[in-house]
Amino acid sequence: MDPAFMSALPLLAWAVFAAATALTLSLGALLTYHWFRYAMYPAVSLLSLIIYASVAFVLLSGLLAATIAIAAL
Amino acid sequence: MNEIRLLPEERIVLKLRKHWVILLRDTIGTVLLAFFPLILLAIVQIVAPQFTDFPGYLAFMSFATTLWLLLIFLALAVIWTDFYLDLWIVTDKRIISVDQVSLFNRKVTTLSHERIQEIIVKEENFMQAFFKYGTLDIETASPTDGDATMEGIPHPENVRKTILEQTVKKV
Repeated sequence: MDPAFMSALPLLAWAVFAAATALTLSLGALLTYHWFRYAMYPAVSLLSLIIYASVAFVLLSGLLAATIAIAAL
Repeated sequence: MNEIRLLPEERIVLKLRKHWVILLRDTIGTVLLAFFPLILLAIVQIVAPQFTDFPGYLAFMSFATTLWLLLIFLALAVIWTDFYLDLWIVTDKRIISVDQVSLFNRKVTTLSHERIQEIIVKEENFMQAFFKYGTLDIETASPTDGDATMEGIPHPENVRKTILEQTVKKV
């Protein structure tokens, strides 16, 4: 593997992690706006928000762990 | 339902969403894409096993797989939102069709029962016949109301009957 690529890999991983987090948070804000503004039942909107936040948290935690593992190489 | 306000003394007769088969049809491709990293891992193991020896292979693959799953999840959230916010409400005075085309692209159509001329039910293929869903075409006499098409309606014949009952009451 190219040493230059290997040295840039941690920075690249952190950049991708930051972009993924920003995308997840901004899309979450957009979807939450739609759920609470347009859905008929507030309980379903709340449940949607809880599921979205939980799954996103788990996946972002996994991504953070993988990023730390790459940075530690 | 902040955007849709019922008229005074207006009564909801029927609330409809698209059939679950429509949601399944829209999500199945995205769900199957979630398995792509597994297939890629298997291919790498078979075709180029030397790649698995490079330091950090496991960390790199974990990173790529988690990122991929995150993107799949975000896509599914958008698809589900589009599905959930699509809605048809039949009241005793009118039909309200809410079409969530995409995020920030929403179309709300209202048809008065008095203006309905014809309702056509279409069940066009095996899937629609088997799962009992189809398309309702509502033709109106009004140049401003226009016609309405409702795709993926569960039990469209029953819906047609209910709408016609309301129409007959109004005329």
